[in-house]
Amino acid sequence: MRASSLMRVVRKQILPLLPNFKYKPTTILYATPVDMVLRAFYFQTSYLDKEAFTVWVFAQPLYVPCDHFVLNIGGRLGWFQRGEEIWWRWRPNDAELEKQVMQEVYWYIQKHGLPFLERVRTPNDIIWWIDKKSTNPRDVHYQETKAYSYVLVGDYRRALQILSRLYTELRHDEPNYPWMGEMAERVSLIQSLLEQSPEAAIQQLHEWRNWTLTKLRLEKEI
Amino acid sequence: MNGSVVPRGTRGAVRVDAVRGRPERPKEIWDLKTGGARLTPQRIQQIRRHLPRGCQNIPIREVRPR
Repeated sequence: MRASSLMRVVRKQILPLLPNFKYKPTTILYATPVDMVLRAFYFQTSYLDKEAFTVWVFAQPLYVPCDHFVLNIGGRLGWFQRGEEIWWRWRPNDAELEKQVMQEVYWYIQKHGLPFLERVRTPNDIIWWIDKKSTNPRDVHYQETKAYSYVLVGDYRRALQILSRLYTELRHDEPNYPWMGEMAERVSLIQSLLEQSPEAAIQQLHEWRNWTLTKLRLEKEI
Repeated sequence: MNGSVVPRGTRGAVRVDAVRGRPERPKEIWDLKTGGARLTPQRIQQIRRHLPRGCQNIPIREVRPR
């Protein structure tokens, strides 16, 4: 199944039931207005089974600069239902199956997806999720996100604690993970801005938000 | 990709055929190979570079159809 065929049906059957959600080609439905955190559903087709697809719900803090979607904060809808792995099967031109599958997907969206998105609206919510719900809160991606979130909520002392520890960790592990060098540069920048002026650090995070939205081709939400 | 879970088809990401455990905390990875194709040390290294931190040493195995 092509993602575009699936999304034609999703837009027809599910999108009208989700007020304030918009479609982002090819596989995303996202909540508006978009503030500091993008909240969305991602429809993933399988490459092993051409009739199968699954649905992710996720939140992406836009102030962590990134040129692609990241699903770390969230999960597949089935995981919220006793940790089940659910792949729905759908094929074009089968109206009965289409109706049944889309009803079931919408049930999962209502039951698990929307409540999740309600809990991850703000930087404060993101801190809560990382601390209480993530499987690996010590992960450097989560630590970076948490540090910037603390800047935005005005807890500069905690932000600086995390940034300082994280920077050392990143430089230590950089030989094994080259991408950590870039993360260390960002962490260092926010740390130095924060030490000079919290307003400058906050301004930088807002600029990164807009940069991320542009890279995700969501510039109309800036 | 770079220790994060990303949508299928994201540029620069690695896609593996099967994972035991959650994508953000994999425990074992299988790469499906057919015919004369082999799981090379370069491919294993490429996959490891993208794994979440702390999961770098999980087994990465080749699997073949019977």
